[in-house]
Amino acid sequence: MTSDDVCRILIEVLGIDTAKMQLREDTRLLGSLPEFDSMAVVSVLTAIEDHFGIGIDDDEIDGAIFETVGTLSAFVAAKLA
Amino acid sequence: MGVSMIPGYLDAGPRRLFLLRVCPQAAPATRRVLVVPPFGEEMNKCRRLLALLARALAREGCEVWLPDLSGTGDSDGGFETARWSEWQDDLVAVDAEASAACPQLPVSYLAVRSGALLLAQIHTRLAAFPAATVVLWQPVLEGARYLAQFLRLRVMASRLAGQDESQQQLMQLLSDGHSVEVAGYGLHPALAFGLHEAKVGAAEFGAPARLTVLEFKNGEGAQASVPVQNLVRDCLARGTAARAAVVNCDQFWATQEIAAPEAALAASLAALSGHADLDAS
Repeated sequence: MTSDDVCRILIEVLGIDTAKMQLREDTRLLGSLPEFDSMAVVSVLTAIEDHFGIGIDDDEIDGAIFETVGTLSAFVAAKLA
Repeated sequence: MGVSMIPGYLDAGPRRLFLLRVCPQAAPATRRVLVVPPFGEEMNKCRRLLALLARALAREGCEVWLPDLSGTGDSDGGFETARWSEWQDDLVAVDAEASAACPQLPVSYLAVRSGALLLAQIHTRLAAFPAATVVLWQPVLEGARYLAQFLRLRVMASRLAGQDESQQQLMQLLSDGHSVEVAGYGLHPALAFGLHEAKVGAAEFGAPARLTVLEFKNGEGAQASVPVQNLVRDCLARGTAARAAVVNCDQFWATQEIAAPEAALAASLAALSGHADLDAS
C-alpha cells in the first residue's frame, strides 16, 4: 500500500522512534514535526522518487503536500495512478 | 589469511588513475572483483565499507580492485575535469589491466549506486562480463532522476540563502555550456549530460551469469524498490539468474556519520565471493 511505504520512508528518513510515536494519516508533518526541516524534505523526496521510480518536479512541490502523512500519501498515489 | 593493500597508479590513456588493490597474501587469488564507484560525496561515504569488504573478500581468496575514476579521489584532476565518457573509458582500462594481471580468474563486478549506470553502459567492452557475477548496491537506474536529485541540493541551498533558483535554470546553464557548482562539486556539462542520458534496464545489462541487487533500508520487512523489482523481473524473463534482496541497515552512502554496517558487509560478501547463494529475503 502506498501509504504504508510512505510511512516507512518517513520513519527511516526522519529517524522516528516508532516506540514513541506512531504515524497516522492525520499526523501533521511540515511545521509540526521538528525533524521535518528543508533538508528532510529533500531526503524524503529522494527516497520517495527512488522507491516508487517516479520524478517530482520543483513546481509540483508546495507546502500543502507535506501537511500530513495523508496529504503526502495522496500526492504519491496520484503520481502513480 | 593475511591481506595486502597495495596503492598504485595506472594509465587510462592520457589520464592517470589511482587504484587500490587488495590481495590475499599467502596464496594466489582464485577470483577477481572490480568495484565501480558511486558519484561524488557518496564515494567518500562508502570508502570505509568498501575497504572492509575488500579485505574480507581478500581473506576469502579474492583480489579486489578499487579504482578512483578521473577527477575523483586520488586520481589526477579535480572533479571539474570529470567527464562521463572518460569514466566509461577509465573503467574499461582498469578492467583490462585487472584481466591481464589476473588471467583466467572468474570475475565479479560490484557497482555502487550510479556505478550501475556506468557498468551497464560499458559491459559490451568487458570481456569477462557474460560469465561474471554482478552485484549492484542500491543502484541508480535512471541518471536523469539522479541528476535532478543532485541539482536539488543546490536549489535547496539557494532557497535557504534567500535566492530563487530552479532546476530548469540550472539545466539551462548546463545546456549553455556552463559548469554548475553543487555542494562543492564543479559539475561540467559533459558530465551532467552523460549522467542525464544514462538509463538502464534489463536490456542494457546484457546477460551476466548472475545478477544480485542489494538495497539497504532501515527496518524489518522493507520491500525492494519498484524499479529494482522491475529490473529483476525483466532480467529473469531474459534468462539471467537475477535476484534482489533488501538488507536491514543504514543507508551508508548517505548517512551523516560514516557507517559500515556489518549486515551490508555480510550480504555483499555472500553475493560476491561466488559461494553459496544469498537468501533473497
